[in-house]
Amino acid sequence: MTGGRVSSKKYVGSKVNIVRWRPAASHYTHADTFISGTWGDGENEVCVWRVPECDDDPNLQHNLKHQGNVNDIQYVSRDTFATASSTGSVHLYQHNVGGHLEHKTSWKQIHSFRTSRSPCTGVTSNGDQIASVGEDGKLIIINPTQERPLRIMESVGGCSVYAAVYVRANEILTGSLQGYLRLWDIRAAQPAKTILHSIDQVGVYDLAVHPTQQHLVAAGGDDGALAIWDLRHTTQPFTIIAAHNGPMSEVRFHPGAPDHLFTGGLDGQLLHWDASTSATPTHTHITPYTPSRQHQGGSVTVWVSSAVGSGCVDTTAIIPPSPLPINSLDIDGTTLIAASDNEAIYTVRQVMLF
Amino acid sequence: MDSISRDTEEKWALPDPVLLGRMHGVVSSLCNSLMVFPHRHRLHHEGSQLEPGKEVRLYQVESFSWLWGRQARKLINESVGTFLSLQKIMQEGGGAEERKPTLVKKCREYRSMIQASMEESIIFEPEEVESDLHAYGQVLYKMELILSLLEILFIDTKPGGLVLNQLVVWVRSHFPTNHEKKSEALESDHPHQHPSYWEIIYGLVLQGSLDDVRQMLSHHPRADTDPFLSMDELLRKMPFYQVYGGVSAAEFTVRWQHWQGECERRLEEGHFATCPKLLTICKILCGDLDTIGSLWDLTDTWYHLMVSTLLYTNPTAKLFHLAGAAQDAIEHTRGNHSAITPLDRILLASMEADTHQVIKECQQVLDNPWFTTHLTDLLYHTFYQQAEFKFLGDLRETLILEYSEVLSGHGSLWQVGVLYLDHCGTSGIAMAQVVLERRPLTSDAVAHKVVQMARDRKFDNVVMSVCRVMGRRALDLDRLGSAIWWGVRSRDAAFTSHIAHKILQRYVEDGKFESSPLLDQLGPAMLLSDTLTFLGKYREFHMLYQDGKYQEAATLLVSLISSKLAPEYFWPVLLLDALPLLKCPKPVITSEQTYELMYLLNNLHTATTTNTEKQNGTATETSQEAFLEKERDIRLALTNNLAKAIIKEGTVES
Repeated sequence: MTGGRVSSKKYVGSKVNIVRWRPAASHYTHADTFISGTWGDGENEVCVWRVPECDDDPNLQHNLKHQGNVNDIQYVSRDTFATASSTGSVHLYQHNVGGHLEHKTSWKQIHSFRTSRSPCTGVTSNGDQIASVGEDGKLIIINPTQERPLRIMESVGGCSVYAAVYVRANEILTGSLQGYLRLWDIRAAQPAKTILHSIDQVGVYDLAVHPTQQHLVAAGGDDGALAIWDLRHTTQPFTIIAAHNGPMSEVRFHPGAPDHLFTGGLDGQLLHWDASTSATPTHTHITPYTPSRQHQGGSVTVWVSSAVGSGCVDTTAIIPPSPLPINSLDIDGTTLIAASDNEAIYTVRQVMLF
Repeated sequence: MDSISRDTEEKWALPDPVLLGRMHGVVSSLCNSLMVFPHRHRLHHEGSQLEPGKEVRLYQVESFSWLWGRQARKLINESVGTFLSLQKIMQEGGGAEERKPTLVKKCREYRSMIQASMEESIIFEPEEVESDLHAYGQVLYKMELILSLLEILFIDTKPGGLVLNQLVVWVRSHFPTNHEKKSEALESDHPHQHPSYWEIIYGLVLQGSLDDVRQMLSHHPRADTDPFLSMDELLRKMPFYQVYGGVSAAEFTVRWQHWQGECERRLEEGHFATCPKLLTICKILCGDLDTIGSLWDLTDTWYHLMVSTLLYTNPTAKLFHLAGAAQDAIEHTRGNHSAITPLDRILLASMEADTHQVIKECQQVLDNPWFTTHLTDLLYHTFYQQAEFKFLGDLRETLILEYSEVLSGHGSLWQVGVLYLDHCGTSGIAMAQVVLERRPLTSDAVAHKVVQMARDRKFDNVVMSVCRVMGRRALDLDRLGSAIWWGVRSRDAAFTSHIAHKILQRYVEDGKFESSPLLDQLGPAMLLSDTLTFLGKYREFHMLYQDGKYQEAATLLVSLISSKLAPEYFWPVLLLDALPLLKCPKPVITSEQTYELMYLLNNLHTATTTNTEKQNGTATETSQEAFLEKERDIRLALTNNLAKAIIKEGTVES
């Protein structure tokens, strides 16, 4: 597995909080451009990088100033992406033809406390809407073409929300400091449809939805453990596997090979979770809702197999642990990018056989 | 906030008339910054009165260092990795022989970082001011030059202590002009017509690149004549000492003397009489000081001259020879040169093997603690446990402390600063605690990072204080859910009690619990404070009641009441909660428990009536009345329940 892995480290001169691949132009090619967002500096910025074919370091294409720390980035379409700012705003950027970025619009300080501004911690999108969450506990639905947010949903208790993902076109799952997962149906009038929570108030720092089995959600927590949730059995997570020595900062499924999962943590580790070798695909566990015919082909998942349930997943460290937190990672094809507080962007090629 | 000064040697004025004559400054302890503000002296009354409408400003003056430039930040972040891995390997122990390869490797890593940074500073950042960039490049060049010399002299020492070969390579790599010009000359059609053909050859001879010299000479039209052939032979035969060449130093000296004797013989026999240029070369080979000295302008600097002289006079020179040779070379060049530069002093001190002086000079000359810190660390590990270098230990700690203080003052590099503090003893630990504790907690993300760093280092007090600050802040914003989460993490009993009271009071007011899921899952954290325990247990009661487990709910409620955990303002609520349980058709509260409740009610009754007597406020009266009204209800229910319970208990017994 580690045979062909080539990793390089590029120092960029500012702490990088988030990296995201720009979606590839077609299904047959891999992404070669990614964007990064910085934090903690007097002036923060979003940058566009191009990864060359050879094993060279990524090259900076363009950078734009960003107000506040860039806490999250989410592509809405191939050309536009939304950023979550620590000032409580959501910004929309666009890639121009010349490889340059352009600031399209912002929703200024939509996240706020009673008396002060609240950082916006996460953005997610289903392709036409943007949803943002913040430390004020609000979930805000934005239509990119409208100036005002479509809907603002508040949670009681004013608890910071750190992560949000669309699990279906109209359902958003959020994870908070206090360890709740909440499933919001944006069509329904009720505030939150379901409330789940993990034991011991372990904060949920990041959520990732399985690319094909959307009822499967991976949650990275405060205690460094990875929890796999099957949203059809919400009484408890399917499994919890401890790995990191500190809070997990990001969880990503591989978009094309979802048996592989990648996590980064504040302990400086970057881990590759490979469930494909240790477990055989199963569909016996979850039959009631899906007819078994659908399981022919690639839609079967190993993540709810009994082997994974008992914690049996191959976990390997991709890079030597960094002394400072890994803030973000993203994967496309065989190339993984990660960003750390060591002001470095890691590029790991041939991270897995694919 | 103005960053005013870029250069410590200049005077800068703050353009603010209010400050005139009454400037006052305070150094803030962690950053390298100075707070300047107008100050009125008690003694000078006249004219010091501020005009009322005038705005008074505070100025934060910060020292600017090239360390904050984007290029230097790459250097800072890259070097921390090397620094940490070096410390790790050194801590693992091992003898001097095991340590040396690591130290050499790490030293080269530092050098390659500096070189990479140099190359990048040439390619990038065209928007930077030219002179700035130039100065930055100069600083990097000097650092690399010094570090590579120190590597040769102290770190990468060879058996026998012969240093000259490495010094020759050092000179060649730092004065590459001769080789560049050689390639340029060879590319032309007639190399010997190159304007500085002979100068290049002399330069190459002085750098000991004899193969290159022969190549150059072979392009001369008279290369086939006797003097040239004779010279070619001499150049070819010059012995070079190789540490692992299987030839002892003594044997080498014999060979070398034989070779130089041959050179002298040919010189005396007049082999080169027809060609004065070759005569000069031969004189150099013979180690003729006057000839080498006369060519000193080809060597640019005294240290180059020193190496060239040693190459042809004392090829087995050891470290202790260098001091004298360096003095001679400086003497020679001083006549033509201007004053001795700080860089010269550093190099001279290195050759005199005076590490203390080297570090001192570096600290004064280079405007950054980066280089001195890493250099001292390398030297400390090199001379580890050698009595005469004991001072390095303390010096190293002080320098690391100073360097990390600079980093910690920076808004973005504080994490790197903390990493360095891990390696400088007890003062480092104390400092790291202060750095983490004082970091402005601008968002949850920063707080989590600080907590993580503090937890890794087992700074429990820092974790506590950060959590307490976050909890307090959340409380101010009325975010009780967050407040209790942070409160529990802070393990601060008083603070969590305070929040728990807030939650209870809010419940008394509007009958709703905020963030009930958190309260339901408190677990062992519940034991942190009495009020929190009560709150958790009270939530448990609600759950039991909702689930219809009346019997257990009743037992829990009564135990809550009798344990006196509940704050007094909450008693009425508890009694009202008992009301539906008392009215259950099947008695769930035993007679014993009923007595407890009656006792509480009585206490409450006396408390309220005495209160009413004391203060005749209307507001309290209404609430008292509301309670008294319910009291009747409760009393009735209590007696009914008591009757039922006694009957039931009696029945069971019989």
